[in-house]
Amino acid sequence: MKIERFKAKNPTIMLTPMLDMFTMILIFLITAYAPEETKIKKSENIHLPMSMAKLTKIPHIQIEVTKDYVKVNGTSVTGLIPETGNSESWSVLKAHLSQLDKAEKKEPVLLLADKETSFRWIDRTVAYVAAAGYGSVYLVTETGKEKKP
Amino acid sequence: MKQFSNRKDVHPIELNLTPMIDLFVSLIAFLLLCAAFIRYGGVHVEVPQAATREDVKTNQDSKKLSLTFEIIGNDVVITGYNGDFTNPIPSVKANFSVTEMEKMKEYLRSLHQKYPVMGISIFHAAPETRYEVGMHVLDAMKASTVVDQVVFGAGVVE
Repeated sequence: MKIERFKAKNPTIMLTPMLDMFTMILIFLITAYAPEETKIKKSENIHLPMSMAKLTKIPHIQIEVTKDYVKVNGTSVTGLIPETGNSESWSVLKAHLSQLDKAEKKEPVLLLADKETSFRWIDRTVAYVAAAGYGSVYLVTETGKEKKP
Repeated sequence: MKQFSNRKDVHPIELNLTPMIDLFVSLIAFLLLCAAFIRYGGVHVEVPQAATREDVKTNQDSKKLSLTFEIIGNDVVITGYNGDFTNPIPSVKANFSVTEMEKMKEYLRSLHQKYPVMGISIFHAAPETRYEVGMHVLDAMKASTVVDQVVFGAGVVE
């Protein structure tokens, strides 16, 4: 009995479905690409509240507020612990903000805070932002469908 | 006729896919590294200083309706004032639970029909209010499209 040998075919890579998939991934990534938003540097322990509002501009000055620290552009304000701080330690924030470039004072300040943060600290921070000569604040949120608090 | 005799020498056109795939892979890698998958939003509010100069002056001259929004516990108290916040308008006062923001938006729209010219609005939350609750109310205020200029009622420090 003659056994027919299986003829080995030349292996070929199916490029068309691969290219289709690559194109789809590329389109998705281009639509999701938001280079401006990568400028917002948020600590991992901060969970922002949700809102439907859109952020139109990303200011240069970013303040992060929790009950344990206040950070200006990623650097902790030395000696300021909101929960235990007195007006002297808070005035360090004003001094810190006043040192920044005067041209930047025309821009709003970006304020990031955890959704569980008490308004006491937000109020205080905004008051010192005002005292340092800034005119407005963007309260940062994550966009999406808002859950009832 | 001789010029057509070399037709069999013409090679089929082949698309060179390798550089194209290389480019796609590089682009995907770059976009994956740079993409921000969390979309940020933001509510724009003015700080007390900015609103106490020209805005209040212009408010005095006109018949604008100015509103204050105060979060106390789980309620939002809305009070209406004439322009410069000196005289409250008794008919413009309402209370809403923080879970009833749709009702609040409807109320604001009905106010806008009565008072087409709106002045500045002051937002204030009690110290114990959670940031999430405050932002929920602020977002509803802005979403109503009636409230445009919001001043954050923070304390004034020297």
